[in-house]
Amino acid sequence: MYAVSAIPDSLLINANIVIRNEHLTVNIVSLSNVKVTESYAITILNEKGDAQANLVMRDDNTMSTSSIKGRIYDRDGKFVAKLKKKDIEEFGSRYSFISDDRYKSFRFKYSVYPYTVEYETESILHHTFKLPEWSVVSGRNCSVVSAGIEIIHPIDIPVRYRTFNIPNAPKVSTESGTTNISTFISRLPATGAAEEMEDEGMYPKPNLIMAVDDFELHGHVGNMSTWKGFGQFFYKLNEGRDNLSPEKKRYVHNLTDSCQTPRKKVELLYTYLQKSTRYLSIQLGIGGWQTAEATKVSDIGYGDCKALTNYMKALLKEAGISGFQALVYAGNDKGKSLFPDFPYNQFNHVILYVPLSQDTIWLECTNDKLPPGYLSAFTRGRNALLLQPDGGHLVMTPRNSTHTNCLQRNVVLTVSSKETKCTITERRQGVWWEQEHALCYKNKSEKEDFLAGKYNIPSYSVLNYHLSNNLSNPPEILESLTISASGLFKKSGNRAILKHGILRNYTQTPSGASDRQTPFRIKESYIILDTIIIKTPSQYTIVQQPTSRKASFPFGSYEYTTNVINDTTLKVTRKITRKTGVFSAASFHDYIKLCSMENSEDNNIELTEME
Amino acid sequence: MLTLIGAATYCTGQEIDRDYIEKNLPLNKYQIDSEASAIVLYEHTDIKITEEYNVYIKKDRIHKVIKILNSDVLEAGPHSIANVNIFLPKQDVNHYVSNIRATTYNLNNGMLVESELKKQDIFNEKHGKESYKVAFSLPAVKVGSIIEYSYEKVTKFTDNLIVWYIQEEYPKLTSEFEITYTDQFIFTSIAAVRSEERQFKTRADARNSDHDFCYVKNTQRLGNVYYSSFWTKKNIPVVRKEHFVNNVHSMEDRIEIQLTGVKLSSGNVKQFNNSWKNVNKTLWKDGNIKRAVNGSNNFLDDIIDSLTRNVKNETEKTKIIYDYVRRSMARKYSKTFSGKKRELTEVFKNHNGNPAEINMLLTAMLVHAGVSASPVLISPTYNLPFSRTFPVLSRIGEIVCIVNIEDKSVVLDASDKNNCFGILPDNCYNGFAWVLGNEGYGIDLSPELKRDKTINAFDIHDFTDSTAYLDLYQKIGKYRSQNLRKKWDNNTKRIDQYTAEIEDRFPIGAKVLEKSILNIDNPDTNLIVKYTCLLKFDKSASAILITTDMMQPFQTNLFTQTGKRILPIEFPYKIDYSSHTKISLPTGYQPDSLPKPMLMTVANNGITYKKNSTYFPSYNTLTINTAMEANAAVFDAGEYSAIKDFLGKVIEENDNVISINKPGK
Repeated sequence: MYAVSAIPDSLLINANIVIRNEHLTVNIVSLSNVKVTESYAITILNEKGDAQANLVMRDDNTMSTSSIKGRIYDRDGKFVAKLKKKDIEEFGSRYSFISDDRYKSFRFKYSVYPYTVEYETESILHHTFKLPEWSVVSGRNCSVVSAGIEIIHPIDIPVRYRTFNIPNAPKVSTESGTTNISTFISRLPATGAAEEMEDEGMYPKPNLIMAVDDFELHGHVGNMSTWKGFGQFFYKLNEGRDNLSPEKKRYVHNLTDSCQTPRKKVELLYTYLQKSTRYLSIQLGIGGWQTAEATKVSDIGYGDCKALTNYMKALLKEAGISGFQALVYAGNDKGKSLFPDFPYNQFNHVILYVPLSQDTIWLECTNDKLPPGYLSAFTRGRNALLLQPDGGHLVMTPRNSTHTNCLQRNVVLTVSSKETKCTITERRQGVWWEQEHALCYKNKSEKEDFLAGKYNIPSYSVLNYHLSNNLSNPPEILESLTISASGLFKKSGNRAILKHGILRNYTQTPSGASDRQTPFRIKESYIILDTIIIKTPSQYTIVQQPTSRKASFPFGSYEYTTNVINDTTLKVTRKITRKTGVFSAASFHDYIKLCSMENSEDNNIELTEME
Repeated sequence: MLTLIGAATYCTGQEIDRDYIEKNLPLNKYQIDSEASAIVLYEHTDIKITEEYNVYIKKDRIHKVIKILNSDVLEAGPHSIANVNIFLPKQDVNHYVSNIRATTYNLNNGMLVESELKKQDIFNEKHGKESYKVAFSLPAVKVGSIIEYSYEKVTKFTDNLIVWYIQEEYPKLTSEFEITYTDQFIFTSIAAVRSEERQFKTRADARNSDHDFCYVKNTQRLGNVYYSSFWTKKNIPVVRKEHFVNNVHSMEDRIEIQLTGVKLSSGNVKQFNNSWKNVNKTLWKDGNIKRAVNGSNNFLDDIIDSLTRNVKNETEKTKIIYDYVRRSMARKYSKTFSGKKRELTEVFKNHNGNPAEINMLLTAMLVHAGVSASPVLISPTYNLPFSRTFPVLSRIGEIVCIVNIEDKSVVLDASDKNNCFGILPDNCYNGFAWVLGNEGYGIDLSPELKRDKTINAFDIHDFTDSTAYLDLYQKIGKYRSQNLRKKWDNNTKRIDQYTAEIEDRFPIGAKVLEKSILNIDNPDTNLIVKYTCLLKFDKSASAILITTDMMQPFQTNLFTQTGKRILPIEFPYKIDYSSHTKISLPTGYQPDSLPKPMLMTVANNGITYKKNSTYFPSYNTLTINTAMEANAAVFDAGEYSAIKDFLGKVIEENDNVISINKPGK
């Protein structure tokens, strides 16, 4: 049955694993009882696919694994061994300090490739709050022979679903008060490695998401047929947990009553939160979704994102300012899109939204380094569900503009025959600030280590260094230093060359295939402004300088100019911009051209010694 | 001040009084380390091994007082300094945690505020199949707080090693450690401590002494005889990470207390693990390694026969078997040497194992083929090195294989398909190692054994007034080749990254016409990189400028430390690098001047750099040769500044250019 020779050749191309068969059944018995059974067989073609042969099941207070079976077959489909319960490992969460999560994991100790593993699992969900997602294809090097899903539900518990990249429309049938929804995929080849900068949204991964309208979680009922209703559930689940002790209330008033503006109150209270609390993940019972009381957080000084956000909300409430929790899918990437017409649970983080009369402030309550109102790449530029008394509302978290993400660098190179002195100042904002702001909290030797590799200079020592971190919005780092460098000025006879490209470029030139298929994505807009003044030794004259050039495309631009100020002084300016967005595969060739120009500027200046 | 109070409120060591807390709360820096993120003001570990109801029980009583100085120690997720995780192998009458107490001290508007840990904030969580975790987080902790906690952990005594980690992640003002056990046990302690130990009669004397490292030994007779050892150490700095150090933790002070004997009911004493010969006996004979490796192993008959049927030469036989194991066994499971190993039949059948299992299989196959082979115990560089005189079992981390063929000893590690015959992975070169056998013996596997020779040859020829051809031939040393193959692991992207780095070093405007990397799939050879490029020069310029050595091994000076170097400088191997540039000039082209010959040395000729150039007018050919050679892989900390300056000069020298005048200009 599982002989590898039976796999069609087309499914072996670019594949490390082949899903021979897969079937997921989601049987909604009631709002608090969902039986999930899955059986699948995967052929592991080589060691790169080994991770997919591992079985990991998660249990917690809301779900449990009731059965695990497994078998392994060799390349000819011959049975080798079966899963033994005693070989199943168990462990708790590796990310939370304390959690209800328990994991069972198993792998066969077999590495004669190719081989096939077959698993059957059964779990019970004691809720309908988040139903399983059907996502068969585990990666780009995975092909599928056949896979299917079946959803069974009573007609009085309707199920919504949405499919992505599944050519066969689901079949729906009803019999004896039960509805059956099923679909399948077959003969899906592996797509192979992602192209550089490929937009993840373009990856044609088959997927099915599902949700019920009325649901139950740990005895709490709700309705997610609309985002409004979904938000209402969360709002009610966490309502009334934002009280403070009399002592804390007095503290809030002492701190903020004299503030001139609400904005100032928010900033003071946010700073107080950052200094007096810390993030700690404790996920117990309904703790995954219900916040700890604000009084508790005030007492113990720690909490997870829900708890800290709720506590901040309580502090603001006492100061007469309304704040609202917002659910997001956080991560240093685009974040999953929310579908306005398909409410369903895909959140993993909470932040706070504070509307003021003139503007809005977003607060990340788990981070003690961000200024008030600034969101990092972790939660920036994505959908969020705002939780208000009348329910949930879809909003977008702010993005950084091009000029918010500004890097400005000024260099003066003073060259003598013995050494080159470099005076450098940098101003970093937005994403550039995020890249380096942690340096502000490092000790002296850690800073030295960082500086030692920062510049494109063969050998140098830092003579003095100053760093300041301005927690405005956008936040900004100002750095100034003086360097004594060697290896930039190279003599031979009466000739010399001077290398001035000491500032590192942040964009690598992609290798790029000429037959690129997929659009590419630029994650953030930004601008880089560099000015380099080069003062050459008085006994030398400049005979060759880099040529000015520029290029402009929809996704970015580059401008490089050189100006002779006098016989011994040259000024070089560079301006690099990028625009966030998704751009066509055909324009990737131009993108490579742009990056090549930025990275391969002829940065040597030739000089001759005067007689 | 720390004061002694008879009935300690915290369960062990000294009571910390309010004055002491109030004195330390306002401080935001300590002389011992002005950059520390936290300081352990006081810690006490008290270990008692007793017999209770016919079971040997170990009681660990822990007491710590820590000052928080920087918020980064609070950000480390579940493992932040303010979170305490206590692990138990199981939870029953012999395994539990009790007497937990924790308090955070803060100064609020000049007033001392204490926040006590509440019982409901102590968590008990199942960790593995049987293991448990008791955990709590200190309340109200922020920068400036002092946290104090203590607890008692009881477990069945099964350890054969107890360690006092004197130097850890944060500096310590006072650290105390004591162990008490009945005379049924014999422990041997091995101290890796840089301070001189002074013995005192009483703890009070030891604590009150000005001496930093003090020791008190007691014997009590309370029915049974109890031995106790007490140490106190003061002003303990952190060993800071420095560049070019294999394992900073191996430089940290510690005392290891190993169980080396038990008193039997007959009254006799059974000693074990107190010498390498004893360990050899324990592992080789009693631990079944001899049976596994030297046994009949009939399951290997067919494979050995098919591999070596027509091979008579021992070296060839060894290479063929080694290659077979290297290519067909998949390395699994990061844990290497562990007490329970799978049978070799299972490793062979499943074609996978941890490195120890794979190398034991290799050894068994070689023995089965009639080759003299033995397993070798290694302490890898992530552990402390073995001591020649005393074996600390917990340091055993890897097993490799040694063969004696044609009067030579060759070490082999077949656990990775990219490993080279006769060369071990870098982390195996950590000093003393032990060859298991009927008698067993020690060998030396230090980085000094490794010399890695890399050669770059440049041939620049066929000049026009604006172009020239460059042929590069790069032969990478075997150690570095091994590491590169592992890093690439046949991933085209990673290989492309490597070639991109090479191409970055070519002169601006150079066009790559051909490139290849040879021997990627042949791990027993050097990697060879070949390039042919078309160089471009400015046609109007009167001269052409060419860099002396565009592929020099150090593009930037990696010696960047400014403060005083504390730890020895450890290179992965002895550097041996040379570059040869030949420039064939057409008629009329001439070098403007020749680079001066140069000879530099540092560290008592520990590292040498040479550069010379020659011009042959009759052939109009210029050659430039550079070479850098190290006679050692490890250098004293005191040599750091000199080596740093030396390297700066080498980089500058290699980066220098030669000017070639064009005709008539």
